[in-house]
Amino acid sequence: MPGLSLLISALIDGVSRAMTLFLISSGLVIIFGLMDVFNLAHATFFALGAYLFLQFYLSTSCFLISLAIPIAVGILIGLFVERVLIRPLYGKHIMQLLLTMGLMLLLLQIIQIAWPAGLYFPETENRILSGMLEIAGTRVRIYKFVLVCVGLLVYLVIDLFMGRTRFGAMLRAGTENRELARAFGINIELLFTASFAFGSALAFMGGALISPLVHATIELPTTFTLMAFVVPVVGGMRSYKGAFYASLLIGVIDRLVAYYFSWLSFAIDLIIMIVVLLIKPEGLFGGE
Amino acid sequence: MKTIFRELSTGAKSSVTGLLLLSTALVLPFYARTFSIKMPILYVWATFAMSYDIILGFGGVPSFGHAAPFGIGVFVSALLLSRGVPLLLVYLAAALTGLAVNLSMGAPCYRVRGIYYAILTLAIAEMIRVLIENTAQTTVAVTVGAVPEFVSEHVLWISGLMVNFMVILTVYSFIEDLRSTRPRRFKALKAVFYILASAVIVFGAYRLTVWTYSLHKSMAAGILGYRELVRTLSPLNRYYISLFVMVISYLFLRRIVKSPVGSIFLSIRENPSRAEVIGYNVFRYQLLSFAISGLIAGACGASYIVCIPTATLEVLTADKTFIALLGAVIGGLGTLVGPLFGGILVGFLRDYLGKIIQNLHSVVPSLTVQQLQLLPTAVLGILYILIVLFLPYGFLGTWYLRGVSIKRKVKSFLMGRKV
Repeated sequence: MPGLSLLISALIDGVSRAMTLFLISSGLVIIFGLMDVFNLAHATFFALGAYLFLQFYLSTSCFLISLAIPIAVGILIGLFVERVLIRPLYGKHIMQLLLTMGLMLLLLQIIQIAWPAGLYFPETENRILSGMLEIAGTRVRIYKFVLVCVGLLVYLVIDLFMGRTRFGAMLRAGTENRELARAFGINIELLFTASFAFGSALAFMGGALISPLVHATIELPTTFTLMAFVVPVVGGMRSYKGAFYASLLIGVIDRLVAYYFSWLSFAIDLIIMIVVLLIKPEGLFGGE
Repeated sequence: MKTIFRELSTGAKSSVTGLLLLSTALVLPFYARTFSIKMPILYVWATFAMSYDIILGFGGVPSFGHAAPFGIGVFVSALLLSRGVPLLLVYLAAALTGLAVNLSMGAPCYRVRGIYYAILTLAIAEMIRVLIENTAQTTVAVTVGAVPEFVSEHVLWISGLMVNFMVILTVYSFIEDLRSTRPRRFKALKAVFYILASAVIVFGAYRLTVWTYSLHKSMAAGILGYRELVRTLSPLNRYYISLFVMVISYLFLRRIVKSPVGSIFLSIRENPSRAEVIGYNVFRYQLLSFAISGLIAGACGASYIVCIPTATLEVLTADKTFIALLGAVIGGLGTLVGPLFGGILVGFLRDYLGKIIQNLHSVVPSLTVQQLQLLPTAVLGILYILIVLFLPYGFLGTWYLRGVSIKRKVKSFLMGRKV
């Protein structure tokens, strides 16, 4: 049955894309929820992670090393951006927005200058990375399942981290009411820096993890910049749980549309976003 | 006649400077012809930056999709021009298209504010580009062929008339300004400067008149071929058309900014919730600023096609938004003259950096031409970040804030008094 196999591959594709979206947008909403900074460059961080991963994978061909380096770079870049660029502009939201817009454009140019032709993931012997699995007459990359598992794992880790650790409690307190949290003795500046570094590390990791599936070309940042905006708007700007459900919704719908009505494939995300803005501007899953 | 002049050059000192700058710009191509080739696109960027400033500097709404009204305006005017529609109608159509684009982009945001505008506009602008790119599958390019207005003698005649009129007006305003200046030392200094300046512009206007007359004679004699005409006349006409569009946009925007609506814009920018409480419909005014800005951006798109006769999808990239953003931020958000000069500066810097970087190719041979072409934007990006961090009011805004004391010092020195 070709119809069923198409549906299955669309669904698997959708869920794996949803996990990718979650990896991008979770960092974005954590940062926005805490410090009201919407980092327009976030998806560019994600793309930079993919490029760095492939760069190191092509030279070392060790998965773990090339995963660790983008995460480390992500933490460093997050620290740098928060301390040097965002900090002087605390409280000036429009200026922060203008700044991250500039950062996005700058990083896009740097990516294109450094890797003009893009980087391509090589065929490997490793079954997990490049192997195929046959389900209902269609061949699916095994790595997609890995990605889904990783996405769920990251969600669980963030959930536990937010719910069970002291740092998570501080983050939640800061998101809920910044002034009160400060009054209770939380070093809110340190918290900002830490959460920004955490969020950008998440983005870099997401980029690194997705790069075996999509090659790192200049379409990667442009596509995911759009997607990274849609998810927080749909799911609620401040909640990582909302981002998770919204990612699932957007990812699956996006892929189903791409498989069945390919001419609509980009517009559908925007349409969903506009409809949500009109009906429920605070986001579908955000208002608790 | 005298009252008309007095009306037109009403005492304010800024109008003297403005008139002088305008007259200089008008006679510029008759001192060096390269200006008529290099400058028009800079005027386009200046207009573009001003149109952006209406949203961000006056409306207080961050919009990152300003390339959309501009780019669509470019394509509309390219398509219309290549079908032989008169230029004036093309400008009108492009402006209205820009207005429609911005209205439809701003309208879905009626429940939210601030950040959503930024996200949505950026997303829509990128989406339009990606959609066109994906559906067209070939390189999208519209080239405008022969446009009768560019080789029309009448456009030059009208421009020449305007130039002479402006020059007379400027000289008249010099005289008026001198008459109202009191301290003698100051007056003498001003007089020397004004005489020099009027000599320059009057001589420029004289050269223009002579050149136009000789062109008319040789055209009447039928010596000039079409190709000659395109080579000599067309850059001048393009220059004047783009300059006039810039000046008209400036006057239009200034009229709006100084009107009651403009002060409502400012109150919304400063404190939206307060403006709402006072009773202004914040969303409606923000949408109005969007619409005005789209109108100018669309007209600016038509100007772009006047300067660069081929429209490619490049006009829809975020890079073009960035030019407007950088121009407005460098010049000073919330002023009009600032973005005007900011836009010119950004255009000049892009051009200049591009030229430097071409020479860089021999120094660093490992970089390809495509990579080098991206470098100017990267350098400007760094400049932009530095400006946002250290000079958030831009050059003119900072001058307005800090310049008063400097001005006072200079003035008291010239008047011979101790500070």
